[in-house]
Amino acid sequence: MSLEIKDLNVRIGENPILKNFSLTLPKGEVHAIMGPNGTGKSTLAKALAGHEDYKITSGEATLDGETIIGKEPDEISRAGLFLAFQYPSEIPGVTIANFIRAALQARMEKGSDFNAPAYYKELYSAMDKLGIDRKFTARSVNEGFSGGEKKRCEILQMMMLKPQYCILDETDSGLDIDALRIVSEGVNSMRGPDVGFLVITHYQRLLNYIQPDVVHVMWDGRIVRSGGKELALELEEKGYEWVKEAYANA
Amino acid sequence: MSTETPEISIDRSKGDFHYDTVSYEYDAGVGLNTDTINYIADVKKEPQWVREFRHKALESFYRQPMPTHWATKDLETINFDKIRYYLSQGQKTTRSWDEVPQEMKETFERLGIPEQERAFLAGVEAQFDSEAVYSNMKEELSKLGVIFVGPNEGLSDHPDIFKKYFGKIIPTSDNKFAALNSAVFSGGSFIYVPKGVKVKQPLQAYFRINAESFGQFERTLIIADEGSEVTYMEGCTAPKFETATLHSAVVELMALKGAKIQYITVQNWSNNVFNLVTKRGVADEEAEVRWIDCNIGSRLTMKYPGVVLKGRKARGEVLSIALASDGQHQDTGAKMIHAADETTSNIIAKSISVGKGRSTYRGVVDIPRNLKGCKNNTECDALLINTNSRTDTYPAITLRGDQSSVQHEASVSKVSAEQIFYMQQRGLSEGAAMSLSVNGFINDLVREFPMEYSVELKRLIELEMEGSVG
Amino acid sequence: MTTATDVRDKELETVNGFEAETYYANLKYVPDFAWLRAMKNSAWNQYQSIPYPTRKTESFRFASFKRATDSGFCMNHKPQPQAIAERPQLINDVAGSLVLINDQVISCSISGELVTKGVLFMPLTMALEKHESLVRKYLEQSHRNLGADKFYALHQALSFNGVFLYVPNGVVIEKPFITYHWVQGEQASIFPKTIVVAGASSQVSYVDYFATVDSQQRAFVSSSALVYSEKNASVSRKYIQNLNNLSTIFHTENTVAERDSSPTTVGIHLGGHYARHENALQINGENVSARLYGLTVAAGKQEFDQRTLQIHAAPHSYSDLLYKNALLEKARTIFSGMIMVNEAAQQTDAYQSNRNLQLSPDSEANSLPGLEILANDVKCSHGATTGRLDESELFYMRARGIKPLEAKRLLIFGFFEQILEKIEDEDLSESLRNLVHQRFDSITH
Repeated sequence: MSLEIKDLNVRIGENPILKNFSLTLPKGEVHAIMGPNGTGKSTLAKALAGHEDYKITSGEATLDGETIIGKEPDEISRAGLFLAFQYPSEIPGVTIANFIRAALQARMEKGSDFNAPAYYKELYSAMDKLGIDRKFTARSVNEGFSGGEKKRCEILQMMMLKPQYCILDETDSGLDIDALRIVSEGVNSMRGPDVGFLVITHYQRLLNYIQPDVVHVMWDGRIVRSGGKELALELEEKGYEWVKEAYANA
Repeated sequence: MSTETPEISIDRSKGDFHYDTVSYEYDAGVGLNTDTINYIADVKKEPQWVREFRHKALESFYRQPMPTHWATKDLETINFDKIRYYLSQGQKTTRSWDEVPQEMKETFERLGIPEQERAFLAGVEAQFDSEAVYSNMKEELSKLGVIFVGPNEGLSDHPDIFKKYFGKIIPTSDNKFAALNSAVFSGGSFIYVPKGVKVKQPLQAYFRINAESFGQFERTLIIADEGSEVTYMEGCTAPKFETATLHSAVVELMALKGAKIQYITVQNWSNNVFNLVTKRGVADEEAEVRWIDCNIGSRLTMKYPGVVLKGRKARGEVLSIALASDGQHQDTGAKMIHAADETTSNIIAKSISVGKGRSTYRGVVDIPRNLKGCKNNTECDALLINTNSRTDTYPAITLRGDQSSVQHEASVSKVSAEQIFYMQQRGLSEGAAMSLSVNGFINDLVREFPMEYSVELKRLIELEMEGSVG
Repeated sequence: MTTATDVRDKELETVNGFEAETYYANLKYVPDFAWLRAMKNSAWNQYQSIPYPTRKTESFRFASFKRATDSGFCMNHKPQPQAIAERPQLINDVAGSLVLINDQVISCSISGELVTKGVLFMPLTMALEKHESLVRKYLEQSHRNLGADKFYALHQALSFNGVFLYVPNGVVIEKPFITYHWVQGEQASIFPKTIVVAGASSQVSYVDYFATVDSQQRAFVSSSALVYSEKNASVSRKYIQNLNNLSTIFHTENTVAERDSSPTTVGIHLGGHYARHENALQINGENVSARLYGLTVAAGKQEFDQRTLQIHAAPHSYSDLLYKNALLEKARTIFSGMIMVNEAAQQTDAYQSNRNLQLSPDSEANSLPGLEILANDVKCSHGATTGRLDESELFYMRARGIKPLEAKRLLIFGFFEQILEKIEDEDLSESLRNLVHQRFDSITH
């Protein structure tokens, strides 16, 4: 049981971004992807989520053996892939409570009843865990939120929708230490044998809070090195220059 | 994820039925001339002054040109010679649904009117083509002196107060369609709320067109005496016929000192109805007139509810929602005429254009003399769903003097592709995501509606958008 | 001055417009090309057939239509240049300057260096003689008028001179060009035509300045301008209208923007009994950044009637319009704006804003900010506000010891500054600032 990506090639417009990208994320593991700006980390996230601007030209991506290529974004979501956005969209007039409810209902059998009291109980408990004021349920999704509030709202949705694979796209960027700790606790509370995490980040700092099983280094559209947690420390210490030097001419 | 050509349909099924079996005992025939006027006046056994009022109005209607120098040329397709101006079964308006003729009773039952009456209304009037078939109000309100009848009864039973305001707020010659209504009006409501009486639950009128090639011309006059409060709601439906149908109402509101009138419309005519309506209220000192206007149906709606702020500290408000789909033009707006110090007005208009639908906002804000402390705030926002959707905004603002202020903001936007993608990533289909976004756009306005109506409204606006994907 | 104005309103109703006699007499000043004569004749016929605006004329909504008249004016072809000899220049450091009195050339100069680069800057009559086919191309461009069609036809019929500025591709000119349009004589009229062509990737700044020689002699000005901004060109254009308060003014401005170009127009409107200004922007290409600014000081019984149109006919372009009016005494202003976004113009970014500052109990501001949007992927907004000076700002300044009148003056100048600061040439912006401030002080003191 895994998220399996094999020889994936992705273009934006005419520009190739991912080049024969391969990765296996088994359920129950946390993998981190690190790398400098412009190496294709966010492209990977958007392409897997089915964004139409990111054209998959060849390769394969499967969730537990089922392909996700060519599927609609909502089908991929309902198949169990969750993307915590780097820049979450604002949706004026749609409250968080209604939005998450609509997303949950989209996963239910037609005609089955929605248990509203149980839903609110769970929602409030998740919000408490993430330190989100309960008043936020009545606020429009992401509208007028600070950066930290947006990211917490992403984790809240992740906790409520219970996906099998989660991609966190630079969820840590721009967070202060307190917010980072809260977000990480939210993620850690979901860790277990049935969930796989792909954590995209710039900073080793996040990995102090979310312990990865594997760290991948990405350069020029593919993974160039994989290792344990110590690889992240090495990157932190040496920077990305050596990656560039080692692989620019390779 | 592209949002190019989602297939959109709006639920009008509820109102799309009619009865061929209805036999009309009174029929003014096809076309409009002085005989039509006399026929209506004869049937209604009206006093001479009303007959004269009608004839004068007809002259004014003939005299005025179609307002196509500013309005849509689509008006020219109305053929006034092919319309029937008065149709009724000669039924008496009853106070019991059991006495309403069978087809009519069934009609209103299918529309859920008796049920709503039981649930949350203080009084109901149901009009079928030209005349009301049912009119009833809770006993306790009658005891307080509240009057809720049709204009026929208004002018025969309460001539003093009726005559004082009838045709005064909207003069016959106000515009071509007000003149037409004044010539052939039939049905509608006359409401009087005595001093200090606050009617807690809404009074409702329901207007139903059943006949083809027919014009409905109801006339409503609401007088809220000093310190009183009333909410009036109107709904309307018609079956979809092959030929165009005309609805041209005149609504006059008078809020005396400290009174509050709230007038709510949910307009859901079928797509072949020309809906050309004149609505205006006068607010005396510290009085408030509030129009909540929602236009979903009709082929062409032209309606600009207005408030004349006549007394010091009077308040006027128009909250407007318009939804224009393929083949529809919602030409709506508001007029605020400030005529006293410290008067305030607020206009919030939101429109959604879908497919080739066109929505137009026209507004007039006038602070013509150097009044003190007047304020107007206007916001109009348009949402365009498809590449071929259209919106126009034509406000006209006049402010004289340095003691008042006006502020007008308008914006045009669309549901962004990124927003839809974000929602799809959470598992919502493209159609559901679009629908949620559209509802989000109007949500803050829908909240202003009474609970029962906002639910109804949301259901109506629920767009079924089968994605273009696949 | 006020009484003179009152009398005038009555007179105007009884006199007719320009006579055929005037038209034919004027023809001898028009260069003798058959195509040009044909244009004039057709315009004259149009002028005669179009009725004067009435209360019901939609394109004159809110305007005092009776003031929109050309009655009682004449053409005076005999200027007396000594009368303006002592008048100060608006700017000294220029790329070229042209002085016209009653459309007759008094002087014309252009830096020799620019001549060698192929820049043309000369009176329109001269340009027609020397570069007939080039000038003809622009004269035959169809102009868009925003409702003052009768007066635009009159302009087309009687216009015989003006300015032609042509900047070849790639030529960048830092210093501005300026034309002084003087009107001299009681009831005199002028009909100048400005044509500015900025070639591909060129850069140019151009100023039209309008003034009356005598503050008590009423003038009639019916002018037009075509600013043609070729690909990637950057054009800065100013229209300074400083005629006396008795004058009647009609101006039709057309800015045409090709792809990647950035035209900016700034209008300063000070004079006139009735001053109508029509400003149309046509965006024909992608990636255009166009800006239209206006500043008006309205006082006495002046009426400023301003109509604007921003047409987006191509995708991915930006336009921004800001018109600010300060109203004193019994002045009236009308701002009527329209943004039109065609079906093809997706990803348009268009704004329109009208800000009116009411400084008198008797002044009246009218706003008609319109939108017609036929494309869905656009960012469009408009706003119109009318109000008085902010009390809290006034109080704040007074709390710092500034006297009320001075505080007001400073706040009002601050209101103007948002427009004045758009003028990049320092000399010009300073002299326009002085012009506006002097105008304001002359009203209030």
